[in-house]
Amino acid sequence: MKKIISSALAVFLVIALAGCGGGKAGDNAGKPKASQIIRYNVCTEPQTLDPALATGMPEGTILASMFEGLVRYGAGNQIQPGIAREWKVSSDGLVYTFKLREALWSNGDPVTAEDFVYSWLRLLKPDTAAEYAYQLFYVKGAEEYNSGKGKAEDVAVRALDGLTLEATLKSPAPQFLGLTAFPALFPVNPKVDREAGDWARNMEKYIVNGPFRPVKWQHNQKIDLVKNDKYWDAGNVKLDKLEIYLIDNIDTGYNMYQAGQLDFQDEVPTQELARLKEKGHLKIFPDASVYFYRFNVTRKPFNDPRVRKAFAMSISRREIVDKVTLAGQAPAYAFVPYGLPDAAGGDFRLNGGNQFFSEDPAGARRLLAEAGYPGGRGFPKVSILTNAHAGHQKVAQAIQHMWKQNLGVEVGIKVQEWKVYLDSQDNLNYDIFRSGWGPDYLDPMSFIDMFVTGGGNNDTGWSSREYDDLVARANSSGDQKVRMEAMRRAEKILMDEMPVMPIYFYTNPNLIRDNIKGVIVPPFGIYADFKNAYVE
Amino acid sequence: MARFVLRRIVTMILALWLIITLTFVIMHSVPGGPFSSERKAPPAVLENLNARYQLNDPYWKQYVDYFSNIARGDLGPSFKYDRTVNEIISEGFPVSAALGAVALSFSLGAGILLGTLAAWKHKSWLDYSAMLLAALGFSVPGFILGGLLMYVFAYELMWLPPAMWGGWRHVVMPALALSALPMAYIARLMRSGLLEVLRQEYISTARAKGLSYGYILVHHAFKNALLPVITILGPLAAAVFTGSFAVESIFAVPGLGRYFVVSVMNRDYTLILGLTVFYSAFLLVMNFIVDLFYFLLDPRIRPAGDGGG
Repeated sequence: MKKIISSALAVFLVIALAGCGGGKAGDNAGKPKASQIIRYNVCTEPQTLDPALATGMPEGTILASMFEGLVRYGAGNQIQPGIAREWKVSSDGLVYTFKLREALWSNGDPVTAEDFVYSWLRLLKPDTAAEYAYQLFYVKGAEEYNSGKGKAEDVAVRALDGLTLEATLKSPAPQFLGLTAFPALFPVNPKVDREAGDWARNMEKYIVNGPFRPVKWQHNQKIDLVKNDKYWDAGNVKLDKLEIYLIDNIDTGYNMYQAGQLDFQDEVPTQELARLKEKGHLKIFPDASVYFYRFNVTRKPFNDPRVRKAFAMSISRREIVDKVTLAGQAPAYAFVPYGLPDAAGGDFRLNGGNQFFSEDPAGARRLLAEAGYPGGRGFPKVSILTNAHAGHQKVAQAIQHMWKQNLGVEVGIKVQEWKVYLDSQDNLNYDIFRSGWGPDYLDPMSFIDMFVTGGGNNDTGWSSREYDDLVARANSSGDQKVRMEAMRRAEKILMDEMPVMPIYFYTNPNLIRDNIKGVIVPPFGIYADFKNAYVE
Repeated sequence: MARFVLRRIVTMILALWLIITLTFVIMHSVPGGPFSSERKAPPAVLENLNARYQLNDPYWKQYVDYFSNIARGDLGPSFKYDRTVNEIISEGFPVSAALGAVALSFSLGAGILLGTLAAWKHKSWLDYSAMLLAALGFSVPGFILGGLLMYVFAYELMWLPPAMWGGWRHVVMPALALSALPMAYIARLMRSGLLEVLRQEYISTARAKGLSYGYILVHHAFKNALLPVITILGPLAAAVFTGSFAVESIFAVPGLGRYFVVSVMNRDYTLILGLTVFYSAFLLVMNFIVDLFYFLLDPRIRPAGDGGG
């Protein structure tokens, strides 16, 4: 089993490198000859282009091509200097000091430490009503200000001088650094923001500090971006133009790609996966997300961990990824996906292994019998709740069939419209709930802290004192070794008690032409980074 | 006439009020709100969002505020998009209306022609094939027809761009996809209207006078048979001019139709209400115009001594 997984992983890596590692060749070849325009479909109309208000990946993708935070993720997910050329973290892990480089806004204003202070307070200001304000709650005084209990002056973010920014956290959070690479913590130009309240909607007033600047936004059609010559690293930006299409129908996007009107689309119609793979138009990138089912542990029959385990042990994940989802996903026997760094070096999942449990229908039947349902007899009527989406329904049907075969249990499938489905999750109004989760930041904690008692994203009714203690220990320690160890032990408890049943670790298939090079498709956060992209 | 107009305007306002009230009640009773999401924000953050969009106010206050806002022509900010509902409508409607105008003209022309041919050669192969076409127009959904058109004209023949909005070449396929249903509807109405009229006594009189069948059809029957078509033109125009979700999605047309669906999925309360108000007002006005036409065209409908309709 382990061999299969590691070879699958190797395949991902090769593909990922093939996709991202082209930068060198282009440099050696000197100025690329092809016209340097990429036409990319981000697959939806962005809800906003205000970095403080944006929450979705499409918005994040567009914003990351226009702005730069303190740091930026490079190929291979390492954190690289962005507007900050270097930084220092105090030994207790609480005080971050960033030294900014001399960078300019697209209108020629200098980017200063004060701009970051302004922008972060803007994010936190209650009137801004930013949903992602909580991404800054690591900072001392931030949550208090946002919830109306504290003052702006008490938020521990200061400009020590024009180019030195200091942030003090309330407790150690190594993930804080990486968060500064994402839209919520991007700086906005204070002068423009004060003078023109509508700047984020009006491309003529839109001022950026990143690789590209917007020229025109045609709603539900496209956003035209051109290279920003004032960007500090403009020398390494090879594209002259980036056209971001906002076509939400992915089949239409696929047809436009076929007709030569698009070069790159984040989503691929599932029915075309096999054919595109053959023709070399498909690249599968790693995705640090997990696909899983939640069990409602507050009511029968899933209040019994033996039943939950029996269910988890009696499906064939290999068959699901090979025959249903078709994009090289990895079967999951753990909750935290591949792609999250281990403090000791390497990958958290690879180092820890992906086998907290195994598939064993006979063992599952024994567990079910122990729980009082021999051969599935007397098992109450339960169902899988999923949102209306063909892909999820197909997976549910496959699993339904496996449970019937292996456990003799009849499970129904209930489909609800997205917001109704979320409401059912919230109110624990389900038996088995289809779920997926990607990280907010590149650390296992983004998965582990979901299941603390009463956590906003727990939604299973599950609670474990020991688990809560481990999460608290990880969150209060500045020592990475202690953190990692605590998270590993927490994950083991989660898998032993199984309020959630992992199914597979996602991949990220993209429709992309061969001659598009240097695009970074990260495993989380945004769809693509075009800073170093070019056309060969 | 004046009394007729006045009465209609009062009825329209009452209808609009009723529609808004019903929408308001239904909208708030559906599970899920505008800010529910897969990643739950902390309560304090949600509190800020609710405060900003006045969702903390009691329902009656939100309801009253809404009316005072629309009285000033302000449909409020969208809860999901960083734009106002007025902006969304004023950007999307001209596109949907332009597309709708082409589609409606085409379906009127083709529908009337098909219906007339079918009635003229009643129970012939011409009649049957026209009605088969109408049956197809009724039963094939817009997204299937759209996909088919795109496959043939954009993918195989490559005559037309597959999607997006630009010159006339971008209008052809979505307009055709949009016109199938109204065309089918008009063709059937036209046919049955003509057949009905052709049974009337004054037609027999005309025949007895020795006028040709074709002449009678065009000069005597046509105008009367057109009345049912005009009747449905109001609701038809309202439906076609405000766009279709399926067709706009397939052809990436930046119209208004998509928002009717997206706003509900997002529980974007102000956008749902704004679109409902806009669509209903448009429909009511269209029906009103049709009635006025009727009033002027057909003396049989004009009630004795003026008055209602």
